[in-house]
Amino acid sequence: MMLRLFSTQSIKKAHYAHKALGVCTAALLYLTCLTGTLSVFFEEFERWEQPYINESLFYSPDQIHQAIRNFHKKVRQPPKTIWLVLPTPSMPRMHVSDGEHEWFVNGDGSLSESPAMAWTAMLTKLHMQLHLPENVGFILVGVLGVLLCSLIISGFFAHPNIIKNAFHWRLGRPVLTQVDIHNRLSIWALPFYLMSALSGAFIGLIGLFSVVSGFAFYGNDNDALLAKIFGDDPVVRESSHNLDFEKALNELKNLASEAKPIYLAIHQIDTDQQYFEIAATLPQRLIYSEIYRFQADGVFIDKQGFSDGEGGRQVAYSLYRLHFGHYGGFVVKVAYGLLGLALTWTCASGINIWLARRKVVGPINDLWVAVVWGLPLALSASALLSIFGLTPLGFFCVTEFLVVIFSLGLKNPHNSAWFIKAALVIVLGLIVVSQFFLVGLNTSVTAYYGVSAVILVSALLMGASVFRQRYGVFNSAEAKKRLPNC
Amino acid sequence: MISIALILQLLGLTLIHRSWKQAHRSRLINLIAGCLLITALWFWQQAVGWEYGISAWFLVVPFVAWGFVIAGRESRKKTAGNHRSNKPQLRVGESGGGLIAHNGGATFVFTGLLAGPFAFMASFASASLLVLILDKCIGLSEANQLVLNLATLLLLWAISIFLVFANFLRAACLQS
Repeated sequence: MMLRLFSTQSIKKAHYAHKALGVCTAALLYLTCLTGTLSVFFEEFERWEQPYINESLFYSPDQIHQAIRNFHKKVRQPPKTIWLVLPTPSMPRMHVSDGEHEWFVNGDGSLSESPAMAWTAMLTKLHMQLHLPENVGFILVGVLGVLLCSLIISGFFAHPNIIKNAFHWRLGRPVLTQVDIHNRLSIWALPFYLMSALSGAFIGLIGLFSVVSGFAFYGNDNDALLAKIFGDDPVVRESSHNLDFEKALNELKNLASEAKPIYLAIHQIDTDQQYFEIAATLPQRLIYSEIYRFQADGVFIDKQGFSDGEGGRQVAYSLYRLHFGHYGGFVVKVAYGLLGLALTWTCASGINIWLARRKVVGPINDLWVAVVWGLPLALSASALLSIFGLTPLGFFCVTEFLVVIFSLGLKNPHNSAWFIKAALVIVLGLIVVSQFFLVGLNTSVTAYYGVSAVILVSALLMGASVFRQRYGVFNSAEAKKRLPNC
Repeated sequence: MISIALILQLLGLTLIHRSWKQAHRSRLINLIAGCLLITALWFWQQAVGWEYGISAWFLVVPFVAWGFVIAGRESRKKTAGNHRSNKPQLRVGESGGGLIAHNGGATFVFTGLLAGPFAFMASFASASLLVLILDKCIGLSEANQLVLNLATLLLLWAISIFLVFANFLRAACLQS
C-alpha cells in the first residue's frame, strides 16, 4: 500500500495536483491567510483604532441596568434583543448593541462613543467573506479551506522525502532555499495548517451544509437542523418585566464558580416571554462559551449544553476559538500569529518556486509581486486612511488596483517588489506617526502602544531589508540572476 | 508542570534531531524520543487540561523544530558539491505557457468546474452513508451525527479534489 502511494507515478500525479491546486488558488489563499493572521489580533487592533475609550475590567448590575435604560432612550424602535458585551482582559471595554446600533458603556452606565473600528471590521470581513454577499463569501472562504486541505494532502504525497529531510535547510541557491523553507515550514506546522483549514472550512460551510442536509433530511427546515447542533431557545410563557441581573450573576456563581461572564443577551424585551442569557467562558475549555439562561427575575432556567452536552455540540462550538487562537491568553495569539505568517509565507514561496521553475518571466510574475507585496501595502494604506475617517475598503481596492497596474507597467518583478516594499515601509511609518499625532501619549490603553510598536518595528526591519537590497545586492550581477520574484 | 512539559518536548525533539542527522537512524533513540514527547503531552494535560494541553503540545513542536532547522542550516559552500543548477534561465517577455496553458486551459477550467460540485455531492453522499452505518452500529445522537457528517464531508471532499486533480484533470489536460 505504502509502495503504491509513493510510486514514481503516484508522486508525479500528486505533484501535478499540488501545483495545479496551488496555482489556481494562490492569490485568494494568500489573501485569506494574510488577513487571517492579522485577524488573530483583531481585539488589539480595535483597541488601537479607538485608544481613547475608557477601559476597565469591573462592572456592576447597576451599571448594566443604567446602560440598558440609556440604550432604550437612544434608539427609536424598541429592539427585540439587546447584547451587552462585558469587559474581558483582551477587550476591557463594555459595549451595548441591538445588532444595528452600538455604543461603548462608561463606568456610570452612560453611553460613550459608537465603536468605529472601520479598518478592523474591514479586515475581519475580508478574511471571513472577502466582502462578498454573506452566503457567497462564507461558502467561498469555506471552499478555500477545503482546497487548502487538498493542498496539504497533495503536498505530503508529492514530497516523499519531506519527513526524511525535516531538518534540512540549504542556503545559497535561491530556488533551493525557497524549496527548503517551503517544505520545512509545511511539515512542522502541518497539524496547525490542517486544523486551520478544517476549522475554517467547517465555519464557512456549515451554512451550505445546513441547506443541503436540511433539504435531504429535514424537509428543507434549516433552522431545525441548526437547533439540533446548537440547541433550541427556551420556552418562557410568563415573565416579570423587571430584569434582575444581580440575582442571576449570583446564581451563576453558585452554578459554576469558575465561569467568567463575557456577554449578556436579553431576548423578547418587554414581552411576557422575556428572558436573558449569560454567556460565560470556562477554564481550560475551548468552547466559545457556555450559555446560562435565566428568567427575567433572575431564576435559572437551564444551560445550553455547550460544555457538557453532546460531543458534536461541544466540538462545533469549540471551533471558533481553535481557529482564531482566542484561548489561553496572549501567548497563544502570538503563536497563532507566527504560525499564520508561516502559512502565508508557504503560500507565497510555493508560487515563487513554480515561477522560478517555469524559466520564463511574464505578466504572471508581475501580478504575483503585486499580490504578495501589494496586499500588505493595500491593507496598510487603508489603515492609514481610516485613521483620518475615510472608508478603508475603497482605498484597499484602489491601492491594490494601482499596484497591479504599476507592476504590470514596470515589467520587472524584482524592481516592482522593491518599489512596493519601499512604499510599504513609508506607509507603515506614516501610520505610526499619524496615530501618534492624533492620540499622542494621552491614553493608558496598552494595546495602542503595543500595536504601534509592532508596526514601527516591522517598518524598521522592512526598511533595513529594502535599504540592503538597494545598496547591497540590488545592482550586482548576482541580484539580477536571482529569483524573478519577491 | 508546564516547564517539565516544555523540557520533555525539547529533549524529545533534540533526540529526534540527533537521530535523523545520522545516515542510519537509531530505532531505540526514536522510540525514547517518542516516549518523551508522549510524556510531555501528559504533563501538558496535567497543567492546562486536555483541550489546551493538546493544542499547546502541537503549537510548541514547530517552533522547537524550526530552531533546529535554523541552527543546522547548510551554507552555499557545503551544498556546492551537489551541482545541479537551479538558476532559472530567464527569457523575459515570453508568454506564460506552462502548467495550465500548455495543457489545455479550457479543458482544465471546464473539468475543474464540473469536478468541484461533483466531488462535493459524492463526498456528501459517502459521508452521510458512513454516518448512517456508524449510527446503526453504535448509535449516535443527531448533533453528533450532523457534526461527524460535516467533518467527514470536508475531509472526503478535500481528498476527492486531490484525486480529481491528480488523475482525471491531469489525464484530460495531457490528452487535449
